[in-house]
Amino acid sequence: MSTQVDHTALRFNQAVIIALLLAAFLLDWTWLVALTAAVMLIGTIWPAASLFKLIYARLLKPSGLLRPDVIQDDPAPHLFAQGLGGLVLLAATAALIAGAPLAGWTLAGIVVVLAAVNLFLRFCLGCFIYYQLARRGIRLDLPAWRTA
Amino acid sequence: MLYERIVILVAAGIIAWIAYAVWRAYAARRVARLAEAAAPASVRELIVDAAPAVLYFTTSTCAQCRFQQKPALDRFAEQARVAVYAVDAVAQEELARFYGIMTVPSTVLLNARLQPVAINHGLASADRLTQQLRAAAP
Repeated sequence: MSTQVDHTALRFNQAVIIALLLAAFLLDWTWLVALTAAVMLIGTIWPAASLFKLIYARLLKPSGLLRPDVIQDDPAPHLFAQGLGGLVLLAATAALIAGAPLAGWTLAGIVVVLAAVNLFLRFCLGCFIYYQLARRGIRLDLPAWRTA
Repeated sequence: MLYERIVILVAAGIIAWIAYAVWRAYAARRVARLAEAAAPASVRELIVDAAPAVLYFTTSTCAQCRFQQKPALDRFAEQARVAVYAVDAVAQEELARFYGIMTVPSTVLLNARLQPVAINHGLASADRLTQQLRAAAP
């Protein structure tokens, strides 16, 4: 599968996730962790409805605030990575609601660190896991990713 | 409460920065150690010209290699006139282990004596490789 992927949209997505989770930690807002998890998971299952990417595509790109960086790429590993992050945040939300703040914020912290590593060092752990699984014949693509 | 959390975040940031600095130092030391060792026989057979070269570690399933790393390497090869040798990281696992390759794409920039001068884990842009080549120039 090969198609075009706007890497500015990916980077904006990562930056917003980091900012929201840091704000959630500072203000002790569990609901913001849950919201970020929901946006990431919905964006994984239905990429066209990804809120952060929509903000980028409908507001930031047309206004010229961010310039697109469209390159030939496979969107599946990036969406897989996002889904993995969303699941970790879902677990973080469950831990925070269950009264285990250390576990909850640690899980959220892992997502922040991995998003930062992806944003600043260009290493995507989720993509790495996706490729390793693909090497072993395990492909976890969703039908919606083919049109992402 | 907010103050405590700000302190925790700042501390986490400092720890992350220290961890990154330690990793960079470890990676630099590893390159220096590899430069002292003799180049593997497979590399000596592959690269016969006494000129800087790039070992480009890839796999058949790596999409990022095809769509991002390969075009960047083509640009670098044309601009810097440096030969690029693709290595299948799965088929040549021993070579990948020798250079400590952890992911694909990875690139190993070699000098004319086949000593590694930089190892890039993950995507490396043509500009980055050019800077590394310049930094390694005698």
